Formats: sequence, structure tokens, C-alpha cells
Amino acid sequence: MSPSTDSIHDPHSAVGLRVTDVTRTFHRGGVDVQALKPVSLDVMKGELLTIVGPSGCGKSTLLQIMGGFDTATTGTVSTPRGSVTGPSRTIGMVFQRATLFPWWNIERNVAWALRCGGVNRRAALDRARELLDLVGLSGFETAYPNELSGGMQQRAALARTLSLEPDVLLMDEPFGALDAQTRELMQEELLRIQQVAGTTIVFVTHDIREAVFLGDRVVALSGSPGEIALELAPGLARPHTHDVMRSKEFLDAYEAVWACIQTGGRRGPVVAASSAAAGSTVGTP
Amino acid sequence: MRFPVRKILSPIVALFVLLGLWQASSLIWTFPAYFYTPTEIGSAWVASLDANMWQATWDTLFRAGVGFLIGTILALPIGAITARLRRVENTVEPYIGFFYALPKISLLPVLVVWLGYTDTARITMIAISVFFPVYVYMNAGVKGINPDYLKVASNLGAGRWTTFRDVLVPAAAPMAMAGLRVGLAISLIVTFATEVVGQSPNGLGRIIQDGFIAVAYSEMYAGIIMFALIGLAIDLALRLLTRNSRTLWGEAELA
Amino acid sequence: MSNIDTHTLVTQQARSRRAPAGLGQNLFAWGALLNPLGLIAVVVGILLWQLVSAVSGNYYFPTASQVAVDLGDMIVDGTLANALGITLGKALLGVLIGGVAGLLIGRLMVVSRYVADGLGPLVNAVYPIPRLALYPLLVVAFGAGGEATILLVSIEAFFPILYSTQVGAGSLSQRYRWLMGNTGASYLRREGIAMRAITPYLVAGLRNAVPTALIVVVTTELLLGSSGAGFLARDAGNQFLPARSLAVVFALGVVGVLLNIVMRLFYRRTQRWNLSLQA
Repeated sequence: MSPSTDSIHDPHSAVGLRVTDVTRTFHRGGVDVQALKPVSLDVMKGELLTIVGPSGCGKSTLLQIMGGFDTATTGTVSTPRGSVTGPSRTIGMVFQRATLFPWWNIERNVAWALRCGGVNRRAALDRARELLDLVGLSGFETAYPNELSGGMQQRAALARTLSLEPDVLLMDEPFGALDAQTRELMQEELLRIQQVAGTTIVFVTHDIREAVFLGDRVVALSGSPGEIALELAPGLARPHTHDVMRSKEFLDAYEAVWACIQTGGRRGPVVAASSAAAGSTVGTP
Repeated sequence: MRFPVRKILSPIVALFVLLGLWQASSLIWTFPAYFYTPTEIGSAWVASLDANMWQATWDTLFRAGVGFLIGTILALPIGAITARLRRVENTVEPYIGFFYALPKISLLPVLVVWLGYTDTARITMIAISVFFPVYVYMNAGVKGINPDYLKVASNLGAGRWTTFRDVLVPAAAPMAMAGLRVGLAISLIVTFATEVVGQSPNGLGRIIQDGFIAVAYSEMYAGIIMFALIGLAIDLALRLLTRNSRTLWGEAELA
Repeated sequence: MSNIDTHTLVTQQARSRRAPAGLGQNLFAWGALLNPLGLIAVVVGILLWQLVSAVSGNYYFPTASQVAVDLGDMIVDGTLANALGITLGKALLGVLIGGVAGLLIGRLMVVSRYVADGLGPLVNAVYPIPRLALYPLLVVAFGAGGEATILLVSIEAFFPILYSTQVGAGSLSQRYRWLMGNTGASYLRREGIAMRAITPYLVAGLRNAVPTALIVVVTTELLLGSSGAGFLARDAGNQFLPARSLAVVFALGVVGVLLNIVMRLFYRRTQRWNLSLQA
């Protein structure tokens, strides 16, 4: 779907984040390396958009640009609040490694995020505990990060980022370093949390199954430099568990993405987001 | 915190064995006059513990402490600054590199020419010697901070002071502590050297040197043992202090 | 498996008097001079020194040119080379003795649990003692010639090399030993492999030990010596020749820097044997 033409600043707009013709070129040792070819997309409010692609296709770079941690060479990123020029509390980032501060326990880690937003100490701690409960960590509030497993650390990091109540949540392969079982658990947990909190999420991964499982919409980046090769909506009913991975909708979506990435990308129309529509998304190039 | 019985017991046992052998071998061979047995060393030390000795110990500790403080107070901020500001570091690097490689004690004669055989000269020497290792560790510590921590801080909207106090300082602390430990060890050694070469009128170095000149072995041993005890005590104190932070502040990069 | 855990290694490294090999010793890379800001800083510094000292006219504040002249004189009449030779000779000999001892005992400690449990804690307990304080006693025992110094240097060099060897020998983990048993390698071949595995760590320990040795030798020469660079500096000071003393300081600094560079080159070349760097 090409970016809709309605203005993002229109209060009735359904767009949470808009990327317009973003490219990124790095200068490495005197040589220019282009990481991203012009990328444009809209992230709708409340949706979980997954971006999937092989290593080196620039998906992490794109995410960093979306969050203001990196600057696009050309193009812009904007939200209803204005364009994104640097990191801010309105766009939260969850990194692949939890990056909780090891010198505090997790409730202090989360509370610190709130205090940075001006919340007083008592209220911050209370809210931190609520959020840790939301992500399923009640009982572990006073634990230190290096006493927790990888999955629990990521939950805590998620709680911290959620405390910002950001407009958009960016997640950079957050489950990549976890073992398979924990990863599946976390994926289901993420869906649950998103149902409750209603946050707009952009989730980057190299795992196609994860992308199709999680995404309301899936964007496939391919090639190096990266560009959007495919957008589709798997159309899986919410809520769902990993049983859905045997359904036809899932397998079709998976096939489509896989084939697309495999062949180096073809633009195709978006499949209608209904569970009945199970056709292949390989449209006319 | 479980009491590490084995860790503390083993060296004590090994020490006793060694001392025992040492003492016993004196029964077999006759040692030269200057080679004391453990009991002789012990009694020499105990016998020396008069007001003069304690005063000397304090004098040495004072010098070492002041020199250490000055060196550290200068090294920590400068190390942090050069780690963050590339240009400043580039400017300063030739000097730091040169002086780091230099055996700084060789500056003592010149310092004495300039400042005389005073405590100022001695403490300056100590401060200079302490500065460089602490600087290097601090620099490395700040440089080694996980950049993601800073990204998180900026994402959460933390101000510069908050980031410095709550992120930079704790993150660099382990390395800085290691530097401080090295600095402390160096300060003791350099204090000894300056007391002897710098002709200090007091201090443990003076006592050992007097013993040396007067061929009074008991004096020498007493001074050496005192030095050893100070070194061990400081090391023990530091280890206890940093015990908790070590386990916590080790990188929690499990995720 | 190695009975040296990572924590211990880090603690030991942190305890050594110098920075962990590679920290401060990378400071004076060629990059330090070749970067324009650094170069300017050095030139400006020397000019400033010259200016201020010439203006002040204070005898005790020698100008850079005076120091240079004295340095030149000492080079030409051979005093410097002689003194540096003596100093370096003692340092390297001490490192050799202490190093061999550290190597042997370190390997022994990895092979035998008993030795490790017995000696290990003892070595750790002795380490925090300021060893320089022993020097006067050593002189009483061995006389004022170089022997006392060399012995002291050996003791100083022993520790970093012991620790490095332990880690290095420990890197030759159980799997490698099984492999060697499996291939039926002879003792000599196994030794060859073991030494190759240990060498990178040994060199890392040397990067620590050599500069420390230099410092110890210069210090002892300052204390009670009658020859060598440390003595030269003190002698010049005693004769109220600050320019000459500074010249010695400068020469020692250059020696220190060159040693660092040599050690770093050596270190880089042996790193390819480092087992733990493999996946």
C-alpha cells in the first residue's frame, strides 16, 4: 500500500508513523555504502507491523532512523507530533540485548524511566510494579538483571519502554538472542500485551515465521541495499497462539514472504485483511 | 553473602606450612645474621611497636594518601573527559603516552632540585606516579561503556547531568575501581622510594633506611613487616568494599 | 578444564601494577604523533617550555635546548649508552629469571590441583605486599652489585607471568587434551602445542612484566645504585645539574616507549595462536 495521502497531522488520521522516501548511505573508509534504497511506508495506529528481511538488508538501520537514533541521508520520518529528529520519549526502542542497567534492580530500572519523565519517586515505583506485573514479572521486582534469564530481562526492558507510554514502540529483533521455547512464549506474550496496551508497534526480525505470526501487516525488505519488496497482511484472527502456524493463512503468507525474499523482491498488492482471503500475494510486478 | 571459608582458610594453612618449614630449617642450617626466622621477625616487629613506629607508619600513610588523592582527583575527570572528547584526547595523547611509558621515579632528582628535600617534592612524585595508571583505567572505563546504555538514556529523555550521574558513573565504575587499586599499590611503593631517595626525616622508609645504614636488621625487618601489613590491609579493605558491586555490575548481557 | 575462573583472571590483571597489557601501552601508538592535533601539541609544548624557561632565567629551570645539549653530550661520550645498557641488562635478566619461574610454576599449577590449591592462595596473599621495601634487605644479603636488583626484578616479573601462564595453560581445555590423546601425539609434539597455546598469554604477561622491570631497576638505582640510568639521574641531581637529569629522564622515556612498541608488535604477531579467539 503506498503511503496514504491524508496528512499525518490531521487529528483523524489513522497513521501513527510515516516514513517518506528514506535512504541511508554510510561513508566507510572513503567508500559510500548505501544501506537503504528509498523506503516509504505508513504505520497505522494500534497495529503491529513487522519488518522482515535477511541480514544486511538494512532493517535495523531503518528502525534506528524511525526512532531518531540515526539520521536518514534523504527522506523524512514523521509522527502526528511532527518530524522525528532525534531520540525522544514518544518513540520507545527495545534493543536486541535488554540493556537494563546492571547496577539497579528491575523495578528501579523501570522507575528511573518514569522519573526521567518527571514522575515522583513513590508514583514511579508504583507504576513500575504495575508494568512489571503486566509483562508477567510480578514477584521479581527486586531482582537484579543478571539474576534473571534472557526472556525475563527482555520483559523487564519491555516494561521499561512501555512506561514511556510512547506513541510508537520499536523493537529490534528483541527475541533474537533467546532460545526457541522462550522465543515462542515471548511472542505470545507480546501479542497479549499489545492487546491490553493498544500500542503501535514496529517489530524487526529476520525470522519470517515470527514476522508472519506477530504482524498485522508484514513488510519484507530485500536486497542490499534494502528496499521494500512486499507488503502483506497475513489476516490471522486475533488472539492466536502458535497453533495458528499450521493454518492455511499462515502458510500462504509465509510462502509469499519467503519466495519474495528468495527471489530478491517483487512489489505486490496488499492482500485484504480477511481470514477468508488466502490467495497468494504474488501480484503483477 | 556466604562466608567463603575455603578461600580464606587455604592461604592461612599454606602460610603456616611455609612459615613452619622456614622456622624448622633454621634448626638444620645456620642462617646468616641478616636472615631472620619467622619468630625472630615477629619479635623484631613486636619489639619495634613504640610511639615512634606508629608515628612513622602514620607519616608514610599520610604521604601516600595525600599523593594518591591528588593524583586520583586529577586523573578521574581528565580520564573521563578525554574518553568522551576525541579531539582533546588526540591533543594530549603524545604527552600521556610518553609519560606513561617513562619510569616516572626518574623525575625525583629533578623534583628534589626544584623543591628541595621536602614533603612537597615527595608528595608531588607520588601524585604523578598515581595519576597515569588511574587515568588510563578511567579512560578505558568510560570508553568501554556499552553505547546502548547511552541510547537508552537518550530515548528515555534523561538530561546530561542525570545521564552522567545515573549511567556513566556506574558503568565506568568497575574499571575506575581497578585503576584505584593499582594506584593505591603504586602510591605505597613510590612513597617508600621517595622517603629513601628524598631523604625524608620520618616515615617507614626512613626507619628501614636507618636500619640499613646502621646494619640493624631488626629495624629493617620491623619496617618491612609494617609495610607488608599496610599493603595487605589496604588490599583486603578494597576487596571487601568492591565485593558487592562486582557481582552486580558485571555485564548482565544474558538477553 | 582450567581451574582459573574469569573473575579471578580479571582480578589478577587488575591487581598488577600496570594496566592490563594493551590498555596504557597502546597509548603511544604512531597515531599519537601522526595525528595533527597531537603533533601541534608537542611542538607548541616544547616551544612554550623553551620560551618560559629562557625568560625566567632561573638556573633550576633548564631550557629545552640545554636539555637537548646535555642529551647530545651524553650520547656522544657514551655515558648514556653505557647507563641504559646496564639498566636494561638488569631488567631483562630479571624478567628472564622471573619469567621462567613463573612459566614453570604456572604450568605446574594447571596440571596439578594440589600445587594450585597450595601455592595459589599463597601467591595471591603475598602479592599485595610492596616488594620494593625488600630491596635494602636484599642488598644486605647480596651486596650492592646488580644481584639484589635482578633478584627483585625476578620476583616482580614472576607474578604477571605466573598469572598469564595459568590462563594460557588453562585455555588448552579438556577437549584439546582429549584430541591430543586421541591422535597419540608424542610428548614433544604435545609440548609444542601446549607452548604455542600458552605463548600469546605469555607475551601478554611480558607486556606487563617488562615495563615494570624497567621501573624497578631504575628505582633501585635511584635508591642505592652506583651505575645505570637511575643512578645517572640521581647523580646529576646531586650535582645540581637539572638539565642533565632531565636529559636522562627523556632518554628513559624514549626507551620506555620503544619497549612498548616492540612488545606490542610481538604481541600482535603471536595472537594468531590464541585458542580462545576461535569460535
